[in-house]
Amino acid sequence: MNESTEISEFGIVLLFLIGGLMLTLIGMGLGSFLRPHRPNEEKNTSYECGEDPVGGAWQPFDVRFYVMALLFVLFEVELFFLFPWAMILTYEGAVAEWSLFMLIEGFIFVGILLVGLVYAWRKGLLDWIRPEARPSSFTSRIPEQIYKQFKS
Amino acid sequence: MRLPTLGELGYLLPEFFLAMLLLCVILLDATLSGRRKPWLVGFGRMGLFGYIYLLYKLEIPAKGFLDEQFSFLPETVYLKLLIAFVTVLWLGYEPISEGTGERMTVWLGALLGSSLLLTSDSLLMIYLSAELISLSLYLGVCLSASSQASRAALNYFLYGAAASAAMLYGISLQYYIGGSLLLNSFAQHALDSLTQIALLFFLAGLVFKSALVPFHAWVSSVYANSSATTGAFLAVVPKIAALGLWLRLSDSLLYKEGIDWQLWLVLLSLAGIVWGNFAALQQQSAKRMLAYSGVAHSGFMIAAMGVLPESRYAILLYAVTYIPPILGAFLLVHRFTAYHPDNYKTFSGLGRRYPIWGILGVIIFVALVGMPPTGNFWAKFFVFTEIWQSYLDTQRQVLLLLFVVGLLNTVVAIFYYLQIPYFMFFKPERGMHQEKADRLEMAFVALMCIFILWIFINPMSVLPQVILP
Repeated sequence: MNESTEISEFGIVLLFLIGGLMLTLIGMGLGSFLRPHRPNEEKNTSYECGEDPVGGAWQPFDVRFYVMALLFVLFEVELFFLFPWAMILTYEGAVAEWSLFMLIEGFIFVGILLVGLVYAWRKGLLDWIRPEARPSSFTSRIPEQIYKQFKS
Repeated sequence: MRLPTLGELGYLLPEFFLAMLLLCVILLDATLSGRRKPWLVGFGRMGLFGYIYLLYKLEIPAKGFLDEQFSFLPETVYLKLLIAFVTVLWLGYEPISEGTGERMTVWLGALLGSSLLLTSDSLLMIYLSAELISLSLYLGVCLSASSQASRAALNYFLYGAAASAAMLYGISLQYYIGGSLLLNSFAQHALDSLTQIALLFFLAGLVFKSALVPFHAWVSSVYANSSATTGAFLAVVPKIAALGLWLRLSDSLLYKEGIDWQLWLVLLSLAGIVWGNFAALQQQSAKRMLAYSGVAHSGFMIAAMGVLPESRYAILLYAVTYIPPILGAFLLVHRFTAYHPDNYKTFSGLGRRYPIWGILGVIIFVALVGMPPTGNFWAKFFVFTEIWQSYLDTQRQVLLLLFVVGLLNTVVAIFYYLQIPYFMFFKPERGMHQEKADRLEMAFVALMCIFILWIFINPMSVLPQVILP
């Protein structure tokens, strides 16, 4: 008996998966039926806030993005923990003193993560260090004019 | 069901204090400028003394608290104090540099994890605190100023990740079997054959922490490539923390029907002793030798655990006497190999050139073998006495095997440990040595040697009253 209820709980998840997939497919299918299909070059480029994209998207990332990504993941995980925390906090059978304790505990948890952010900030991990562009000291033996002639 | 009260949190006051200290150190490290770094070390040390004071003053509850998720065994506070003292000694032992704050964070983090691990009775808490130790130490290895350090740290991290994944799997399997996350769930469901599989997976994490045989492969590269202080810290703190958990586990599992825990322990211990000793025998590098012999020492530590509760004092004495010589050995080896290749030949003739270092070296390595006049002799003696006594009482053949193989391996240990004193005194000097100011190091190693000799004279004085036989 117990097992069958457990399975039906997962059945709901399956229903959600199927439902989500169906809705997406139906929506996109309907859209492709109804919309006019007139592509041009502008429309086919990937949308980059109005800028023309340079090069392909499949290239190595700058490692500095990863530092940002790590910090982002940190705070995302924080949210992950805060949802169940909030759920337990509003649980009706909770003992009053422990509810208060948990409330404070949640803030302490956020505070600890904040300390981490402050640390990263102060240590300069969030600074986007730009490589300094130095003018090259190289002087070509070929006169400049020849280049210009060659270009034109 | 009795609900836990808020007051029970007070038993964890030292850990709360330590966590606060850790956060303060992180904040101070971020705000203080480079010139003020000595303040940071001073602050950390003061804080640790505060932690030790709180621990010392702590009223120990007779039973488990906070829903039985935590409890104190007779030796818990004692082991916590031991690792806290090691950390105090280590804080600021290395010269103060830009990375001082980071190293302090690592050590305090590992201490906090170990301290929680020693009290926890809940599998989840055990997992979390073991992870706290591991993550701190991965970072600690990474911060060592060695060109290979990050490679060693990656090695350590990969092994550790695999071990902790297995541990977590074991925990979830046990939760499925028993519906409880308490450690004694293993004992309660000992008759269920699935429990043995869960326990096996759970042990992976523990075996990794104490560097025992199936999960020992990281030790040599990690010890060889980390700085002396990090290496010594790695050899002591996680092992002591894991020892507490081994004791806790043995207390609940031993003599339970369904699981032959004694046999498990004997096999693990034999594997550690034999493998560690023979691997150490083949090494040419002093640090790698220390690493593999550390595996053997872990084996000896859990050897007597199969015959609890009589052998409790022997196990703890072994753990205590293991600390001073291993700390001393790491510093001594580092002192002479910091600027030279790390092999035995580097030590040639140094005993005659620096007689004090030579004598200290002899004491330390004799102690690691476990011969008199060092405290380690008594530790080995009591461990083997208890095993023998238990063999006489129960007539179990595996105990006899453990006794004989363990004793023979002590003889093997002579050959590799005494290599260094041998090279120091009986080989001609190679005349390539660099001078280095080392008053502090020498004083520290001398202090360790005094401890070693003191324990020989009065072995029971270093153990707390509650666990004396």
